[in-house]
Order: sequence, then C-alpha cells, then structure tokens
Amino acid sequence: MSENILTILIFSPLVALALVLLLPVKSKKAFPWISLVITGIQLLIACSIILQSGDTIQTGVNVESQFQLIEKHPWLQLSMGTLGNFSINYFVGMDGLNSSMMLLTSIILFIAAISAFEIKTKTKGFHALFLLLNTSINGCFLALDFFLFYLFFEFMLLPMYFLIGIWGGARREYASIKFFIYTLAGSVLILIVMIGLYTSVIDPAATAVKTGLAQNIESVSDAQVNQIQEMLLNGTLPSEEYVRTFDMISMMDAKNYIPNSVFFKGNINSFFGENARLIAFLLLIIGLAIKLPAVPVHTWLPDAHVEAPTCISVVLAGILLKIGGYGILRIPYSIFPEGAIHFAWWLGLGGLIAIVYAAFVALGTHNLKKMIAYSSISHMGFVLLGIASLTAEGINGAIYQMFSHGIISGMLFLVAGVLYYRTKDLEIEHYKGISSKMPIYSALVTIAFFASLGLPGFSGFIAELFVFLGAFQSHEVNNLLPAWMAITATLGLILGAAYYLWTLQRMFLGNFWSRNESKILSDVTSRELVMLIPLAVISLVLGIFPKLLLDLFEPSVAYFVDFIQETGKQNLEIIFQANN
Amino acid sequence: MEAVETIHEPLALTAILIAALPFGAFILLMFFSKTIGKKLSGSISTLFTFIAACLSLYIVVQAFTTEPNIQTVVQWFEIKGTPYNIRLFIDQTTALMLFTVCFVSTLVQLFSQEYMKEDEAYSKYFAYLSLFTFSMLGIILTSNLLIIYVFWELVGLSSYLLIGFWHHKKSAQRASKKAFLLNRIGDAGFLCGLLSLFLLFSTSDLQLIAQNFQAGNISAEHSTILFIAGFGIFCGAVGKSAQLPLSSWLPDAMEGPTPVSALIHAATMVAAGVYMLFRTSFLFTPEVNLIIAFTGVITAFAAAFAALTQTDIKKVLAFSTISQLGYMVSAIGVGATESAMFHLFTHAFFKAGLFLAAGAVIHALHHAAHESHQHFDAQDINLMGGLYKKLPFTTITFTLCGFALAGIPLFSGFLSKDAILAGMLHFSLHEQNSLLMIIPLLGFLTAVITSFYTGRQLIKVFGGKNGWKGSAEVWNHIHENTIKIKLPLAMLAGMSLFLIFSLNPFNAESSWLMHILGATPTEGEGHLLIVVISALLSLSGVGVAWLVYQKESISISKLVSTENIFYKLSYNFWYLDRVFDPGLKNILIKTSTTLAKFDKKWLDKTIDNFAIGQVVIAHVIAWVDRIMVDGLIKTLVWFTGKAGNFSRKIQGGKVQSYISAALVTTLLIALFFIFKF
Repeated sequence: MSENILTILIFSPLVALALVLLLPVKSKKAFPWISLVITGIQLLIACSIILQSGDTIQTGVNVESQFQLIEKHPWLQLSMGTLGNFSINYFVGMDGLNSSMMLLTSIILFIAAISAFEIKTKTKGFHALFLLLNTSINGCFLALDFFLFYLFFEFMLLPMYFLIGIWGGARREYASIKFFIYTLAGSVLILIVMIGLYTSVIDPAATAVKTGLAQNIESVSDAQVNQIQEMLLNGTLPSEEYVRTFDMISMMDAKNYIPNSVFFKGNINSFFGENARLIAFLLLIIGLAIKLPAVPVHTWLPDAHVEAPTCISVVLAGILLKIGGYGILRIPYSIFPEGAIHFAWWLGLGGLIAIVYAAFVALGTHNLKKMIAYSSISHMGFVLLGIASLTAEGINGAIYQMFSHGIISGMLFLVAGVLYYRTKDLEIEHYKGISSKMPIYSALVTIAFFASLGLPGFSGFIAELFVFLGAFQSHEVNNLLPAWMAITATLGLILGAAYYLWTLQRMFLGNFWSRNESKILSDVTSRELVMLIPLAVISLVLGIFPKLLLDLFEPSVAYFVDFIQETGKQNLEIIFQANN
Repeated sequence: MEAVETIHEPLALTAILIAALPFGAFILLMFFSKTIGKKLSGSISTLFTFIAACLSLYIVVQAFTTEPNIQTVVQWFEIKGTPYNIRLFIDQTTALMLFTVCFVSTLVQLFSQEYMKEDEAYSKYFAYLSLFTFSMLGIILTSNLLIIYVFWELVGLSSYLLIGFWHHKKSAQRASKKAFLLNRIGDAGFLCGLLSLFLLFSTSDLQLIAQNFQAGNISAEHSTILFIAGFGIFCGAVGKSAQLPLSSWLPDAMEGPTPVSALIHAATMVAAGVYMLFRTSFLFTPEVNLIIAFTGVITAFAAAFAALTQTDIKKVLAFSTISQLGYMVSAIGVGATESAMFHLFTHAFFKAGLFLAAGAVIHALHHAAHESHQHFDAQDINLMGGLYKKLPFTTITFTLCGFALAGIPLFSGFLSKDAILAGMLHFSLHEQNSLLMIIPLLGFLTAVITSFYTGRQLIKVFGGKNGWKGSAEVWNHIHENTIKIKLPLAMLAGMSLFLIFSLNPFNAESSWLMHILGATPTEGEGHLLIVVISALLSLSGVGVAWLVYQKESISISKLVSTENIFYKLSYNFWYLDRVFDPGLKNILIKTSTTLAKFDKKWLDKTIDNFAIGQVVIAHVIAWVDRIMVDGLIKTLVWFTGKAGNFSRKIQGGKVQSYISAALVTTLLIALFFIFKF
C-alpha cells in the first residue's frame, strides 16, 4: 500500500472538485456521479486500510511510533529570533481512536453521495461544496497536528453554511447562520487554547536538529530527545533554539513544556482562581461539546437538521457530531488528562442531562425530523457519559456509540428524507397509517426505530451496554462517577422506546390518512433501498458480532485509559501542590 | 466469535439446532414469503417447530439418563482482557423448558393454521411466532444473564409485533405500545441488576456467579449492591410476568390473536420472568425475598379478584394468568422455588389449553355470526351459554383445563398449587412473624376465588339454566371446529391430568418433576391438612359457582350489584388502568411538553435574544460610530475648513487688516499681563 494513502484519502475529493469546477454548469448529470465515484473510491481505500491493518493493531494515542500510516512533513517554518522557531507540520496518522471514525466517514459520505442525487438545483455548486466538506471531514479525523486539525475543523463550516443556507428548507438562512455562529464560538475557545499551547510546547526532536545534536529528524534518538527535555527543564536550552510546535503528540508529553509557560504543569499562574491547564481543558470541552452537541449548547442542531437537505442531515448527524466526541478524546483528554479526572463528575452529569432531557424533548416534539434530531442529542449523551467514566468499557462504548449512531442516525434521516422528498411535510400529526400505503417503507422505518431505541441485535444496544457498564463500574474502578448516574441514565432507554413507539403508532399504524395528496405517497424506490439496506445490515452485523468493530479500537482504548488515569492523577497532584 | 472450550457433544449441537430451526423459519417466512406462498408458510413454520419439539424430547431423555450439564463456551467479545463469553447451558430444568416451549408452540401453530387462515398477513403471523419461539429458546439455553437480557428484549419485540398484529384496531396499537413500554420499565431495572452483578462478579454468567457467590466472595460493603442486583432482576420479572404495578399490559394484550395469547401471554413468555427468578434465586437477600413474596401474593389476589367480574372470555383468562403468575413469583420469594417451577409447567399446559379452547369458542361463534350475517360479540360471556350442546369437544377440554386451574384434586394444577401453598405456610410459620401469615392467607383466599371464577366462566359459557342468550340465528350456525383445532386441545387437556406429573394425585413431593427441580422432601407433618384444606377450598369454590350460576339458587345480583364499589374495583382491576397508567402517561407527556417548550421558548430564545442583543449593540455602535466618531471627525474637518477660510480672509493682503489684527493682539496680551499680576 502506498505510504501516502491517508493523504490520497483526504485530498482526492479536491481533485474531483477541480473537475467539477472545470465542467460547464449545463452538464448537470455529471456532478452527482463525480461525487459518487470519488466517495466510492474513498470507501474502498478506507476498507482496504482497515483490512490491511487488522492484524497489526497499534495503540497510538501519545506514542508516535505506535501510529499507522504516518505522514509528517514540515509545512511552515519560521525563525523568530529570541522567540524561537515557528513550526507547523503536515502530520496525519491513524490509531485506534480515529480508525473507526475514518471508516464511518467514508461509509456515510458514500451513502450521502447517493442521496445527493435528489438535489436538482444548482448541482454544480452543491457538489463542489460537498467535495470540499468531504476533504475537511477526513482531514479533521486524521490530523495529528493541532493547527492542521483546527484548519480542517474551521474549514468544515464554510461548505456546511452554504449547503444548509442555499439548499435547505424554508428557514434555511436562520438555521445556517445559527449553525455557523454556534460552531464559530466553539472554535474561538479552541483557538485560544491552541495559541496558549503553542507558546508552551516545543518539539524535542526538531529542537535537537536545530541545536545541532542531530543531523535530521529521522536520526534523532531517544537519548537525544531526553537530553533536550532535560536541558529545557534546567533552563540551559537557549530560547532561540526552541522549536515551538502544534504537534499534538508533543503536547501530550509533560516534558516538552517550557518551564513557567502558560500550560507548564508546575505553573502557579491561575486564571479566575483556577489552574490554567484546567481552564484550558474546560474551554476545549465547551468548544467541542457545541459540536457534540451537549445540553445546553445544542439548540443549533434541531434547526440545522430540520432545514438541511436530507443528504446534509445524514452527514451532519452521521459524522459531524462525532468530531465533537472524537475531538474530546484526542485533544482535551490527551493533552490535559488531569481535567478528565477533575471534571469527570460534571462531564458525566452533562451526559446524563443530555440523555434524559433530550429524550423528553423528543417525546414532546411534533416534527419527525426534529424528533430524530433530539434523539441524536440524547444518544450523543451516552458518548459523553461513557467518556466521562474513564473506564475501558465506557470509552469503548463511547466510540462504539459514535459509530453505531452514525449508521443508525444516517438511516433515520434517510427515512425522514423519503417522506420529505414526496410531500415536503414532516409534521407527525399530518399522517396516519402510512404502513398501508407504503409497506416496505414502514418496515424500514420500524427497523430504524427499533435499532435506535437500543433493541438487542442492533449495534446501538452494544454501545449503550458498554457505556452503562463503564458508568456503573466507574465508582468502583476509579471513583469518578457515582452509580446513580448510570441508573438514572436507564430512563433514556424507557423514553427512547416511548417516543419511537408513539411516533410509529401515530404515523404508521392504523388506517391511512394524510393532509397531503395520497397519490404522491409511493413506496420506496430502489435508489432509496440501496441507501437504507446496507445501513440496516451494518447495524445488525455490529449488533451481533461486536468483535468486528471493537477490535479496531479496543487495544488503543485500553492504553488510552491507563495513560489518562496515570498522567491525570500525577498532574493533578502537582497542580494542587503548586496551588497550596 | 471463537469457541473457547467446545464440547462437541451431539447434545450441544442438537440444542443449537433446536434454536436455529424457528429462526430459520422466521428468515424464510420474512424474506421469501412470496415464493413460499401463503398456504405453505404456516406448514413450514409448524413443521420446523415440530422438529424442534422432537429434538427437545431427545434432549429431555438424554438429560435424564446422563450427566445433566452441557456447556459450550463461545467468546463474544473482550474488553481490556475481560472476556464476555456466551455459555450454552443445559440441565434438566432447561430440557423441560425447551420441551414445553417447543411443544406448546407446535400446538399453537397447528391451531393457528385454522384460526388465522383468512388473515391477509398469514405468513407474517407465522414469521412473528417463529421469531418469538426462537427468542424464548434463547432465554432458556444460556446461563449468561446478559444473553438472557438480549433474548428477553427480543421476546418483548415479538410480543409487541403480535399484540399489534391487527394494527388497524386502535386498541391493538395502544395495547402493543403499552406492553412494550411497561416491559421496558421493568427491563431498565433488569439492566441495573445486570450491571450490579458485573460490578460484583465481573461476569454475568450465572454458573460463575453461583460459584463465586457460594465461595462467599462478597464483602459487607457490597450488600447494597447485592440488594440492587436482586431487586433489579426482580423488576425485570415484574414487567415480563405482569406483576403489580406493571400488570395492566397483560389484559390489554388480549387484543392480539387468541393463539398468541395462549402461547405468549399465558404459557411461555410471561413465565420467563418466573424462570429467571428461579435461575437467580440464590442471589436474593432476605429483603428482596420478602418483597418478591408479598408482590407475588398481592398480585395473585388482586388479579383473581378482578377475574371475578370480567365479561370478556379472554379477559377472565388474562387475569387468571396474572394471578397464577403471582403464585409462582410469591413461591420464589418464600423459598419454594421448585414448586414455582412445577406450577410454571402445569400452568403452561392447562392455561394454553384454556386459551386455545376459548379461541375455539370465539372462532366457532365468529363464523356462526358471519354465516348468519349477524353482528355478534364473540367474546362476551354474558351472551353465551349452553354451548356444550353445540361444542361438546371444546366443552370437555375447556372443563378439564379449567379444573386444573381451579385446583380440583386429580388435576395437575392441584398438585402444583398445593405445593406452593405448603411452601407459603412453611415460610410464615418458620419466620414466626404474624404479619407474614398474610402470605398463606391470601394464598388460600386466592385459591377459593380462582375456583369460583373458573366455575363461573365454565357455566356462563357452556352451561347455565337458560342456555344460549344470543340470537337464535347465530345459534343455528354454530359448528364444532376442525381437527387442527381439536388436536391441540385434546393434547393440552391430557396434560392437565395429575398422572403426567405424579403417580400420587395428592402429594406433589412424590412427583418426579419436583425431584428433578431439586426439591428435598420435607417432613410430612401438617401436609395432609393442607391437602385437605386446599381440596375443600377449590371444591367449594366451584360448588358455589354451580349454585349461583347453574342452579341460580343464590341470586348474585342481590348480593353484589354492578353499582357496588367492590364490583367496580374488580371489574376495573382496582382502577390500575385509570390511576397508575394514566398517571405515568401524564407525567411523561407533561414533562416532555414542558421541556420541549422550555427548549424552544427559553433556551433557544435566550440564544436568539442574545444574538438579537448583539445586533442591537452593533447598531448602537454603528450609530455611535456614525454620529460621534464620524461626527467628531466631520466637525473637526468642518472646523478646520472654517478656520482656514477665516485665516485666509485675514491674510487677504490688506495692510489695514494686518494693522488692526496686530493692534487687537497687542491689546489682548497687554490685558492678559495686567490681569495676571
């Protein structure tokens, strides 16, 4: 396999984008096919990566050599005199935390590309933006340089803003600007921390080259890295020699922090009475929780979903939300592990509130898509609860839930889209007894609903079970979350069943009636089946054989949990000693 | 999934095949129903289940002649070195359960071929039945509680699908939703129990848990968790076995087709709760046991009381099911676990028989009504009577099964109920707490009520002084059913006799079944007394019913009018339907609408207002910018311009103005110095 396979995966849509831009607007038919072909190729690439890496499981997390398919090239290098050197790398790689997300991305984007055939207006612009979005999502999951991550993270906003704002429903402008401002607010918080990190962290290997200890990056030995780190701690390393970096892996090692810099762990500087590192953790969490989304910063999601066209809803729920959950693991948890322990209780509470609150709201909404949107929030609450528990089960569950929810929510938004495509009306009260008019469609809806309400046999059950196990054991294993959180979270299961079954009863069972013309309610087309059936099958297979997916990330997660626990506890002690 | 240790015994393979057969039928009927065709689909599903029943008979024989334990372990997944294994586990109880489920399922499917033959979704019906049988077998075949939970939920799904099978009826939609939701509430508790067991033993395999538990590896600080574990599991059983307060779904579940009621809501699924309690009973702390015993016996009494006044032929049976399940649950609580299982088996056969017989009546009347073009409620027992003339075969089978339910000596129900009553009495005498005497007292009271309402139903349907109360048109069109209906009835009625279970009709302890279940013979003291009392009670109950409804020598309407508070309580099942369920529903709906409003009106509005505020501030700043900052600059420009004009004028080149300016300036400076000093 080529060494640049990840780069090919990330940037191949840009090549297709060039093609889309070159073709005249008139060649309408070509654009969706270009998207479809390119996402298909990406899906093949992603599958082959996963299949080939299957046996050589690597833990990754904070050890560069444990990543797979690493590509690291200097990108921007600047010498700034006494301030040291400015360095941004193009740095991508894969470990257990992002491999499953990469796979999910390619599956969902492929399905979304099929769904995009429904878009009939301004297809050129739509597919140009869709391909741009594709690149930035893949980049976001695979980037290991904070700057690169941030760049992709921000870049997702632009295509998303226009995709909702131009091809959306009636209130599309409102929804898109709300989405934009919300996410932008979150990324500002991330930006602040990123700059702070940049001023605090050096890249020891690059510094070793700079100081002349080694000839080039490849020849830097561990001993030389240690030497640089010691010099840094002793203050014998002149500041002109610092090679400041955005490299996340360097940020995870406490020895790379410049003494008395903002995020140096022995630093006694505090902001508003809190340690700077803990504040940074919180800012990152808030920034990423908006994306997740967690209650109470979730209100952009229902509007965005209701207004977005079907395929964008699928991408939004299927992948974009996962960047929040994945980001939490990769950035605040890995870089500021003490925050994971210090704020575990609050994070767990946040997850619990999201689970229960959003489930209640879902029960009280009258729009099918809005209900699904709130159920998304509720299910992403499980991700937060699982992560907060900081147990192997919990975090495995969180990642499993992200994957499973990606698949199931994709299905849910697609079935909502089937109805919307026909009638442009998703009010629950405007339909009765659809099943007698559209039997296959109703069967698929039933499958999607039961998958989402956590019926055993579907992937959602496995994911939620792991999260429950983790959250319940947490107080015994690491004393972070009380057992009542897991017990209260079971309310989510009951409510989930309630809103789905109620909707089934109101919309699909009984005698047919609709406010809309009944003629247009034809059963699912084969194109719609092609989208829905694979998702249902994936969810089923992962519900029965959890090992298939679990083995991708389980070793990484086990390592991750130990790493966070250990360093987190150490750092927390140092922080409290410094404060006293 | 990799096998960790596989014992390639033919028995293990047979067991897997037994579960695979109905699953195969489900897949076939679900996805290939068009190619199979309507007629064949029912036969395929019945045949598959029949083969499974034959195979299970082989397992029963094997389990009794050889070592009972068959274990095959397969790893499902692994987290951080902790394996999560699936263990196939078969002992003699499992073997019997296997046989019961497959046997009753075969009979019910045979019955259904006739009963459902005019239904459009005929093959879907059999697909669902097969799915149910598969999930039920899943519960039985494993000793891993997690896997039990998985199949437990699947059983709930098939129950949901079958209750709502006629989904055009609004009542059926509601009933199916209610059943699933109330079960989910119980299941949430079950999950908590499961999590507690994971915490305590790091496994959910009951075999391993039992080993650890007996080794006494539980510290005192974990006693609360052990309580949660037991109580949680019990919650699951409360949901599935329709105990109070989650009972009301079962009477509503009668909206489903009657054979479904026989299989799922009488013989097997609802008994799954009891089966699970039996399997986990070693875990229960004394407090949990007490809760179980009281919940069970109160449910038994409350439901029997409700059965007294029901007019729907199926509702009477539904309440009697709840009541009998209450007996079993209570028996687990008082420690008579073997008796509970014994009653489970006897009840499975006679209750399935009763439901199928009721189905036969409904089927016959429905057809008669259809043929005579009359509208007729085929389930209202007030309209029936004297049917023994038209349906003699059904009458006999119904009566035999009914006598088993009533606990008449020489029938199976007498043996098992007697064992439970003895267990209750033993428990309360042993504990020496007079409050505990409530348990056996309610138990005996329920026994009388049971035999009374059974007699009432028998007479109202088949006998009665005045015979048929419906229209003569319908009466003339009533025919006995076909062999597909008769055969299952005959077999189930046969299973209601004592001989199948014990040679001695009066002593359950001599039953082979009780020995297998692990009962140790207790001292015989006082047992004879219980036998006599319970025999007398059940006979007198039926006797009174005979006097009241057949001879009409006691006028029931004088004693209890329909306006009577007790009558209303009974008829409405203690208003559970009107108080508890709507209460729960109201809380759900109110909270959800309030929170949805909050989300929209407050949370979202706050954000919106914040954004609006931003825009307003932006406008203010823009105004300030335009008027003040810009204004200042403009003023400056204007001023400078003016000043420039002014000075230009001064420097106009006129000598006079220069002189006057110099003069004025000199004067001003002079004045300044004068005033300063």
